[in-house]
Amino acid sequence: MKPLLQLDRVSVSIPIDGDPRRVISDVSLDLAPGEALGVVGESGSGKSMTARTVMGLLPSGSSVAGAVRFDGTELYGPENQGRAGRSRTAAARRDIGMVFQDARAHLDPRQRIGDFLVETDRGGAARKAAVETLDRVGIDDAARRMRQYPHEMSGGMLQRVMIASVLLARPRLILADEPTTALDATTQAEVVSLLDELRREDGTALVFITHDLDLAATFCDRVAVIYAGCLQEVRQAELLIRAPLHPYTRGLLASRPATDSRVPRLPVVPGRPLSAFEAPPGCAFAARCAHAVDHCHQTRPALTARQGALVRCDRLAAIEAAPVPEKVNRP
Amino acid sequence: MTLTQPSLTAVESAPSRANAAGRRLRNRLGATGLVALCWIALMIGCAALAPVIAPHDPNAQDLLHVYAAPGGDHLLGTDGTGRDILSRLIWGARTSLVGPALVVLLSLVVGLPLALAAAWRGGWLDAVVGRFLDIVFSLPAILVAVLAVAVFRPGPAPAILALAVAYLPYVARVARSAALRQRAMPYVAALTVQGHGGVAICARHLLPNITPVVGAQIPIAFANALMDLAALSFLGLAVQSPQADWGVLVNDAQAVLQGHSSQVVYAGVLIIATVVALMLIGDRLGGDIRRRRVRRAPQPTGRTP
Repeated sequence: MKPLLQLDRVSVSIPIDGDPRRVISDVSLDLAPGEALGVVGESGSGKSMTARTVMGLLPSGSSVAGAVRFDGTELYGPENQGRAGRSRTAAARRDIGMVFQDARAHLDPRQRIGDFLVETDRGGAARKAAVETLDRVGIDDAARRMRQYPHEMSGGMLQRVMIASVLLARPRLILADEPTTALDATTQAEVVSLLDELRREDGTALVFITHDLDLAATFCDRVAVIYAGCLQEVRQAELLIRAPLHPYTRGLLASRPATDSRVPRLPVVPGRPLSAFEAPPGCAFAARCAHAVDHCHQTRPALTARQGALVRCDRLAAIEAAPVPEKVNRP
Repeated sequence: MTLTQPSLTAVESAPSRANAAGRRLRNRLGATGLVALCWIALMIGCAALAPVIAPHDPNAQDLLHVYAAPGGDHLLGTDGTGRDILSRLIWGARTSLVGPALVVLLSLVVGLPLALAAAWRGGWLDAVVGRFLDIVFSLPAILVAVLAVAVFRPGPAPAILALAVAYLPYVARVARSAALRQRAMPYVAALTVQGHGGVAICARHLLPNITPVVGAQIPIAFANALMDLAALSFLGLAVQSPQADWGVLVNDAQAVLQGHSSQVVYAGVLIIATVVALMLIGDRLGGDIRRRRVRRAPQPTGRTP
């Protein structure tokens, strides 16, 4: 099938303190229509920047190399320059909806929920559709809620309003940038399953950005693990959880707290996460990897297909042959 | 049960909403602010109802009763040509309040779009608008008005237009910085992503969000414009005698200040009281915004449903 969203060797630099710094390097991803892809990584790994690149929300002075195609339309080519090009890009992006992390900050505090939902089309039919959609995202008494202001509603409610506003536009792709990080654990589960359910009903594709590997694996078909702006492993969700290949994925999975067993101390991935511009010429993860050898520090491995997954590690065979104990306790 | 519910809520909500509005006003203005607001309301009432409440024609002379003492037919006495001082003060409220209102209105109509455009587009437009406002801000308002009157002719229209230009920065500088603050908010980025145009976002989102800050500036600008216009009228450069105006009234009676000072005192007290009341309101509104910002900062935002 023709991919809906296609990132082809995308590298992004944004200005930090005036210097262009690379935040995403060489990311290639395909997303089929109706597919859900989880993007998982630590803070500063470039996962949000990936979504912002697709959405055109990069800070001014950023540069994008490679190709970002949505439904066959290039979003960052030379043909997107100028007035006509920009409006063409904007038209292409109309089919992409974005759910932000902090719904409260992303709503105009002085605008009623109802006015926000019918902002583009203020007809009576639009109001009716808005009430129905609020109902659909599980907001009781939707007609009354339409008259309320954001400060009268809770964070979980506002995130539902945000999802309703995205659904109203009938997008073909939803980018959800940590939609539940600002919510309580119980609300979190409700909001994510709601998003997933409605997405399936409408056949909408989803890019779900999170730092919660389990959450991504539960709701997504495939999961991409990103580190230092670089994809490390892309794999079917259940396989990634059951049999991770990349040492970084293994480390992340090993460091999850378990509810069914007691461990004296949780294993950690030693060191601190890097941004893409800090990464050494070799494998970005080498400095924190228990399996790293000299080769890893010198040449950056390519993203290669192995066992139905895409993995960026040259030591997989060696790791399989002689597994080093994963639990390295060096905080 | 379901039948009675709507009527119940309707009965309850009307007075409680009025109460809530009153409480909000008291919280924002405080006791002094409320007194000031009442004073301003009284002045506006006098200006609006001048033909009804003024006991005499403000320009009717009665040369047989010049400098009449207060009391009797003339509650505050008469001036050198026998005109009723109270009526002249009441009618004077009209010109004295409409002038500054026009000044503020004109500077808002021009200043707000200018400020929003500068904050939204940034770059060279912001630089040009910003420097222009700085230059205008450096010119004393009275001086600009005197210049305008010298170039055109003495009268209210040139003085008001000149003051409107001079007061542009008062409104526009505050509006620009408030709009810049709002422009950096995530909700503006979200609106942009949803495909809304710049003009729509400025008019429907930035403008309502900067009103509290700009609104606090309005009474202060109004008070300053009132003072400047009264001074210009006193100098004979804006409103012209015999038209009743507080500034004109001070000028009319200043020659006889030694013997018959009451008219100067009355008009002067009205000017000062109105300016002080406006300043108090503006100060309370501005202080309220600052207080709310401080109070809001340490509060956690997330609530469970």
